[in-house]
Amino acid sequence: MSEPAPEASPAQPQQGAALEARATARPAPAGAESSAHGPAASESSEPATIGDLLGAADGAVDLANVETPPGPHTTDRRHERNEELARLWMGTAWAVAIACIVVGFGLFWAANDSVSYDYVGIPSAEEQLLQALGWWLAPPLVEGGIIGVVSMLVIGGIRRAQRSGRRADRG
Amino acid sequence: MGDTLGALADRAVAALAVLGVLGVATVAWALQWQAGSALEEARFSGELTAENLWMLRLEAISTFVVGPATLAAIGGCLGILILVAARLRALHHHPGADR
Repeated sequence: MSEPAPEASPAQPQQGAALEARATARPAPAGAESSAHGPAASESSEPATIGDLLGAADGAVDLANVETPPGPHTTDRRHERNEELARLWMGTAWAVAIACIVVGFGLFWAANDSVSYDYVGIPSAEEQLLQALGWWLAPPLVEGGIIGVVSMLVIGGIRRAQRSGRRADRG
Repeated sequence: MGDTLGALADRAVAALAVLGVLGVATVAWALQWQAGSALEEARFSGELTAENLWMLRLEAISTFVVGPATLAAIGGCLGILILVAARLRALHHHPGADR
C-alpha cells in the first residue's frame, strides 16, 4: 500500500495533473480509482493513503484535501471526551441553578429581616437597596433556578432513555 | 398501561413529581394565608410585637412564594409528561430498553 505505483514514479506532467485532480475531488468511488492508476492501486478497494499519493507524484497532491479515515479507537476516545465535557457542563448548570434558588431566597429573607422591616422610621440607603433587591431580583432568581432544575431533570431523563435504547440495540 | 407505568419508574420523574406536589402545596398554603389575612383586617393593628412581626414575615413570604411555586408545579407536570413521552418512544423504538 505504501509503495508507489510503478508507472507513476517518473515525473510526467500529465499523470501529475491527473493525480492532483483525483486528490482534490472527494469522495471518489472505490471503483473509479482502478482506471486512473496502475495495478497497485486497482487491487485495493480502500482509498489511497497519504503515502501512496506522495509516492505517486511528488508535490502534486493537495495535502489539505486528503482525508484519513478515523479509526474506531479515535471515535471511542472522542465520544468519551465529549461525554466527560457534557457531564462537566451539566454539573455546572446544576450548580448555577441551585445557586440561583439559594441566592434568591437569601436575598428575600435578608430584605425581610432588615431592621426597618417594621416600617417604623426612615430606612437607610442600604436597607432600601436590600429591600429593592429582595422584592425585584429575588423572585426571578428563584424562578430561573426552578426552570433550570426542571430542564435538567427532563434532559437527564431523556438522555437516560436514549442510553437504555442504545444498550438494548447492542444487546 | 403497563408500558406507561414502567415509563413512570424513573428517578427524574419522581423528582419532578415531588417538585410539582411541593409547588401545589405551597400555592395552596399561600392562597389560604392571603385569604385569611384579607378576612382578618385587624390582625396587624395595634402594638408591634414579636408575634405580629412573624405574621408580617409570613405575609411577605406567602406573597413571594406564589410565583415560584406555581412555576414549580407547572414545570413538574410538564416535565413528567415530556419524560414519559420520551421513555415510551424509546420503548417503542427499542423494545428491550430498560423501563
